[in-house]
Amino acid sequence: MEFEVENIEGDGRRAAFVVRGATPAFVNGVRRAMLADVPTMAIDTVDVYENTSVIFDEVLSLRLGLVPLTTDLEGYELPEECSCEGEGCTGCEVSVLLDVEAEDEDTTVYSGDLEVEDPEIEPAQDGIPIIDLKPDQAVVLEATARLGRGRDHAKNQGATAAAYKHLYRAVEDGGGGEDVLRGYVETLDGDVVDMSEYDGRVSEAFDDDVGFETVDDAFVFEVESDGSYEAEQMVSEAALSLSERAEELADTIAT
Amino acid sequence: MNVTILSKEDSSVEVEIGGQDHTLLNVLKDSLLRLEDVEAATYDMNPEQSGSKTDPILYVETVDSDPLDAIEEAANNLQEDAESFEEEVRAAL
Repeated sequence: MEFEVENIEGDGRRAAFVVRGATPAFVNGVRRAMLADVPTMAIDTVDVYENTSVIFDEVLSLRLGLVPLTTDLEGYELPEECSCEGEGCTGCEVSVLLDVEAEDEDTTVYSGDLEVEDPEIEPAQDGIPIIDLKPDQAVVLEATARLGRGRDHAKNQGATAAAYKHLYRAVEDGGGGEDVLRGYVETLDGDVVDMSEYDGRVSEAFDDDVGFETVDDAFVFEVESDGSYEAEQMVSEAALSLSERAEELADTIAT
Repeated sequence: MNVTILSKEDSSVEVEIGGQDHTLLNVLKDSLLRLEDVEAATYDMNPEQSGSKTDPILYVETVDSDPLDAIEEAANNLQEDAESFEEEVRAAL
C-alpha cells in the first residue's frame, strides 16, 4: 500500500490526521493495536506500610494503578520479555514511593505526590486526586510499576480515544442534500476543513449545489492519549507492533 | 508465535495461530486477499464454539501455489505496509 499521511491538528496528547491509500482492515488493525497492544507503564503491585485513611488498601492500590505514567519503551521491557523472565529487575520495573501525612489539617493526596525512582517515569498529570486525608491520617507505601498491555488491564490502555472514519469529500453539482456534517471534510480545493469551525453547518462552509461522498481509501483518525505517550508515538508504536507480529509470523511460516 | 498446521493439501491449508486475535488476523486476511494467487482466505476466532478460549484458525485456498507461501508473502507485505505507514506517520505528525 502507498500511504499518504497528512496532519490536520494536534498538540502532544491529541492528534488528528488523514491517512490515504489504506484499506479498512489496515486502519482497523492500527486502531486495535493502539487500544490493546501498545504497552504503557502503570503501578502493578503495592506494599502498604501505613494506611490510616478511610479506604481499604485494595481500593487505594486500584486508584494508584489507574494513574497514567509517562512511558519509556527504550528503558524498560515487558516483564515476560525481560531477561529476568518476569522475576523483576531494573530492566522491567521501577519503584514508586508515596508518603503523605495530614498533620493538623485536611490534606488531599494527588498523583503528583508519587515519587518515582527513575526521573524518566513520572505521573502524566500531577493533579489527579487519589484520597482525602483527615488530620493525623497517613498513607505510606511503596509500589512497583511495570509495563503492561491494554488487552490485559485497562490501566495499560494508553489511548483514551482512538477512532477513525472515512473522509468526506465535497463534489461539484452534487445537488446539496446535506444540512449538517460533523468531523473533517475535504473541500473542492483538496484542503481538509474541520466542520466544527462552522458549527457543522454545510451552508456556511460550502456553496449550495455542493454534494458529498466518502473517499474509499482515505480515513480521518482522531487519537488522544492518556499522557503515557505523545499521540504521534502511540500511532507509530501501534504500527510497529503490527509489523513485528507480521515479521514473526512470516519467519515462523518460513521455517 | 506458535503456529500449528492443522491440515494441508496442495492448494489449501488450515493454520492455528497462537496468541493472536482480530488485530493481526483481520489485517492478514486483507493482505492475503490482495494476492493474485489467493482464491479464498478467512479466519475463525471462535473455532468449535470455544468461546474464543482457543487460538484463531486461518484458512487459505490458493489457485496454483503453495498456500503457506501465500501466508508468508502476505505477512511480509503487511510488515512492509506497517513499516511504511509508521514512517509516514513520523514524517507527517
